[in-house]
Amino acid sequence: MNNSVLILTGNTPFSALEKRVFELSKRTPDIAFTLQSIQPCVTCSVNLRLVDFIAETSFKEYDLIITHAGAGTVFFLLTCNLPFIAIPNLERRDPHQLELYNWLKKNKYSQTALIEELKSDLIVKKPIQPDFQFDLPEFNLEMLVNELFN
Amino acid sequence: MAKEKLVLIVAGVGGHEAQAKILKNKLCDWSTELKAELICEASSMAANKSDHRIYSSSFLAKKLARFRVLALVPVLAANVLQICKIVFQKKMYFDVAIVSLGPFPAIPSFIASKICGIKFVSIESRSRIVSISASNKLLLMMKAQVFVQHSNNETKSKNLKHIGVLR
Repeated sequence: MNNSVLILTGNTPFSALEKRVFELSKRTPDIAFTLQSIQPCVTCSVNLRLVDFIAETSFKEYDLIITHAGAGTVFFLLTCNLPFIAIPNLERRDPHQLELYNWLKKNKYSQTALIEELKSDLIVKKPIQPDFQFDLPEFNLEMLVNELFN
Repeated sequence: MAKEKLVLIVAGVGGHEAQAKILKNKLCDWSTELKAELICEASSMAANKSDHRIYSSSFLAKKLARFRVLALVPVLAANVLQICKIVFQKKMYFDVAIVSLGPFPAIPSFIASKICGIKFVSIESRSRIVSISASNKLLLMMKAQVFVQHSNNETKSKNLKHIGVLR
């Protein structure tokens, strides 16, 4: 069973996930939830802590990470080989997180869920540790500078 | 004496701001002769820490949601003027180029670069893994330089340059 769960909502509001986590925290009092949100729409409780920022270096201290399907967080978690559940933020005007969600699901890089699929059993169950090393191609700064000034 | 080089990074909201900050740091670390400044949306989280702020199309689209289509053209024109104003101020002292990150700033930044006669590159979002955004498709039709962070069938068929992932 997981003892600590970290929820990352990113830089844009994701109230559906926050409300879902709030409900789940009531149903699973043995789990300590930490919710990162810039504009929380829920209040803290005995087992739900609210933070506006959390350093990436402390991600590994949690048993499970539930994150919006934002590229920055997802790629960081993949390159660190940390288990997580990705949930697309469909509240955004541009639903581009669905593309990343489908890519993760198709390639089985991580667990994925839509908001309505996020239930207590998914939170309680120990996540499967990824058994691959994910590498992202390095950013070619020289190419960009040459294009801009040569 | 040759002017110093300045890259103006026009960023969208959310993850694009985070990418823009990474890119700014990378460019500033690249060379002492190279400077980078951020242009962010007034509604964005990074607006207070940004070098310049503009009232963008997406900011106004939220405010004028009911009149979005009607407002689009004047808002786009306003965005172009705001970016041009910044470029003209900077052109007096620097050799300026524009990089856009995210869908909102791509079109106005490109038009502003054409008006000001400076180089422009649009970098597709790192979240676009299997496709490219509508804004960048439009830019490609206008023969703009678009770099992508991920390689996929669509980017290969369009012969787009693959620049790697900002992190």
